Amino acid sequence: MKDKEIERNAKTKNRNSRSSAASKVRTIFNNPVYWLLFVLLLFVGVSIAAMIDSIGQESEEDEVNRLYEQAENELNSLILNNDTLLRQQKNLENERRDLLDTLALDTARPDLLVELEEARLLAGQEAVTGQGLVITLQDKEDYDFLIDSSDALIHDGTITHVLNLLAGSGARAMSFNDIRITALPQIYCIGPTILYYSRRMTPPYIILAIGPPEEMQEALHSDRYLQRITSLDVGIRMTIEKGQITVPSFSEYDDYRKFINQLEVTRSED
Amino acid sequence: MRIKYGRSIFVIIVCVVLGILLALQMSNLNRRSRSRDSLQELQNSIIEYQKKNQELDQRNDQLYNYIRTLENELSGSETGAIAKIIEEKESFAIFAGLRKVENEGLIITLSSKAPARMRDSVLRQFTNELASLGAQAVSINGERKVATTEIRAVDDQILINGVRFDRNGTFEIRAIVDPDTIDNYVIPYLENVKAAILQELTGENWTITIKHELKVVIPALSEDRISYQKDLLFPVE
Repeated sequence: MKDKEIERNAKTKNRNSRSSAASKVRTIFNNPVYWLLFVLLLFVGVSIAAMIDSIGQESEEDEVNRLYEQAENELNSLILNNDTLLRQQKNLENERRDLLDTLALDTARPDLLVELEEARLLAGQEAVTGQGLVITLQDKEDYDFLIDSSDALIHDGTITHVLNLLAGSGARAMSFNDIRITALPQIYCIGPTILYYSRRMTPPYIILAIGPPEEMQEALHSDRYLQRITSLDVGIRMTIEKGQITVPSFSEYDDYRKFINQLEVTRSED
Repeated sequence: MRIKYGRSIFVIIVCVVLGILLALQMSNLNRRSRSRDSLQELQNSIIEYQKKNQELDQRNDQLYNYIRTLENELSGSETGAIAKIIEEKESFAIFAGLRKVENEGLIITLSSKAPARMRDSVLRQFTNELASLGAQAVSINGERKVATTEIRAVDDQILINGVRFDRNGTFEIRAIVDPDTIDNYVIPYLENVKAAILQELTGENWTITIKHELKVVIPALSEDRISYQKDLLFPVE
């Protein structure tokens, strides 16, 4: 009888303890603090694992980082040097112009200096100023290659199309992202960027054009291709501003002589 | 109460540790983004700037010598300035397309049979490709391509430098290109451009030929062309 009672008590205790464990688990599951702790500790675990994993790779990465920093410093000093050389070139050009002006008064060939200045202007070797347009072109905002057509991106053809329209409406001098447009501008697409000579350009693309502003603006506004690509359906962004602008000399970018080294002047009449 | 505080402190400590670990991971990621590719890109920029600076240096040396010659001419101790000025003027004129030039190059001949007509876009595509391929002088039907040349279709004609050409006629693009690249690179590339254009114009009767020529003569820009005008340009002082 006693034994049976003891057995019943034990069973009740067992049942009670099981139900208290279950209620404890329920409490843990219901308590957001435990969930938060669980997630945080999971993150800590993953982060520690990732750090341990990266320990072996450190040395190679450090080497790349060291080389990167070295290259970055070298490039910065070269850019500084380039600025100095460009400033020096501008000073020498000014000195040269002053001397030519003085010489024009003394020499028996003043016409020669007029011809020199004319050739310099037409060759794009002189920074020039005048009334004109600033055209800014940008790809469609938030371009998505899965949804949007390739027309929503600006290509080399878009730039040359705009330049052709400007030339046709009387532009006298043009530049594309601060490099003067020459007789044979080397403009072509490389992936999502445009290469002009050896400089890689990214949007916004800025075209400056000196010429009759009204005519040039009208030519751009009335062009069907530009109307289509700047429509809401395609999404190219284009702004046009009128004003006094300065178009840089090509000499600020490169030496023109390497682009004429294959040309032999001929006076034959064939 | 004590247990509640203890729990909060424990959560704060875990958050701080996690924050530090995340920051370390981010800085690691940032360092990893400096990959070998971006290093290569930097090194390419270094090479480009080195070349540019070297050329600028040479150009400045030449300018310096030129200035000395002008100064000597002014002081009467030397008489070479005029020759230097002529030389400089001529090289500017060549670059601007104001001189007739010749050398090895290629000739592209394009024609279309009715009802097809010449398209300005086709002419523009070939001239743009030639420019990108490093052509040093280009003309279309004898009109020199300069910085402000327009190539535009207007009704039955194509305007080039303000001169009208019948769209049913034959068009000839002449170009002077580096002779070493003509057969190996330029002509195969242009043949691909031609194939792409012909595919786009399927159904139209077009003939396009590309020929290597040992002597290509390209005329100068005529003085009466609109591209010769510089009336709206003022040198920056």
